[in-house]
Amino acid sequence: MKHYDEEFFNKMLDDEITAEEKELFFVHIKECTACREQYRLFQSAHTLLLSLTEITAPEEINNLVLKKIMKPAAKKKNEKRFFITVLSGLTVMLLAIFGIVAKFGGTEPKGGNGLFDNLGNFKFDTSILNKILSPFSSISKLISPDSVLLVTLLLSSILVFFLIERTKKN
Amino acid sequence: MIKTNNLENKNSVSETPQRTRTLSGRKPDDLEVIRSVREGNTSDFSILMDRYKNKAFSLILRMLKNRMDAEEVLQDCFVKAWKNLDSFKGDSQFATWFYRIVYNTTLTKLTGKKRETEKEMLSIGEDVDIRDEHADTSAATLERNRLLGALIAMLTPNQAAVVNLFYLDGLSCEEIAGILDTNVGNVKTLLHRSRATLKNLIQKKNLHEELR
Repeated sequence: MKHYDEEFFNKMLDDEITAEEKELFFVHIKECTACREQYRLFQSAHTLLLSLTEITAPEEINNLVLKKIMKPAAKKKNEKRFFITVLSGLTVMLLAIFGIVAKFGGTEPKGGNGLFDNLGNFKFDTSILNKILSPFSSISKLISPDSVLLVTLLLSSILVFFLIERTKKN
Repeated sequence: MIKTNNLENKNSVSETPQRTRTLSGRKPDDLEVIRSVREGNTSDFSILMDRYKNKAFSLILRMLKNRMDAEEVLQDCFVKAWKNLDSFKGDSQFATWFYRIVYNTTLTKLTGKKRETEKEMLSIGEDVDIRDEHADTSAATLERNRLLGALIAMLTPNQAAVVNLFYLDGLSCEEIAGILDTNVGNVKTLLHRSRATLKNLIQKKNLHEELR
């Protein structure tokens, strides 16, 4: 008489056996005590495993983990805040310099009103800027009004971008 | 076979309106919680911890067979999950992704502990108590838990992982294969061997009638 093996019993438990095979098996175990006994043992093992329960984790686990992850999170946030503050400060400073130069710069009057001359062109003189930067005369020679304007606009755009990003995150 | 899939639809994206600052007081799905944590609400991570800590602890303890180590590894797993949350794309369920972290971290711990510890554990296998101290304490349940504790102690870490994920978490062999980074055939072999080990234990101790 051919006996069934462990692989078959496992397939029975996982319901991977066809109806015909099952029928043949049940006919077989009516006669075969060894297979019947083995199948019952596998069934008991399976039933026992189905009663597997969760093991309760220690209650303090949440606090311990949160303590560990909150520190880097706060540090990261502070670094970001510091970066934004420095950037804002720099931009405001540059804007102020640009404003002062544009408003009061120049020893020779060009006419016109406020920031514009008679022809409607933007009035910009680097004399004050040159005075401020006189210790760095070689650098000041490289700086043209256009480049100051460009850098200021660029930094303002970066500042606005970061402020928008920060607002979105909060 | 009778097996429930506890993880079904856990990651379904719900069309909820814009959230308030935290998710407390509601029952959000995993993806909503993850989104909130990514937005900076770190404390919302405890929702995920509450959801998975018992299941993860069961898996770790059954693999490691040492409560102190299991507690340490559980903490590591959650910290790792938090650190790598940005790499979770949502392609798979959060549970599967997290169990992969749990399984790999536990394996690393086992490797670190070296073979001596494993041998020591196997030698005292049947005395290792990894039952749930908060579980039902009726005589029949105690006997079942004692038997299960003895069985799990006799299993290899991989067998214990498969048994836990299959019977406790209700995962399919395919899902388990993904977590263990192996093929379905291997998972089935591990599962069948675990059953055979328990069957032999029942036979050896003549517990067949008691368990009926």
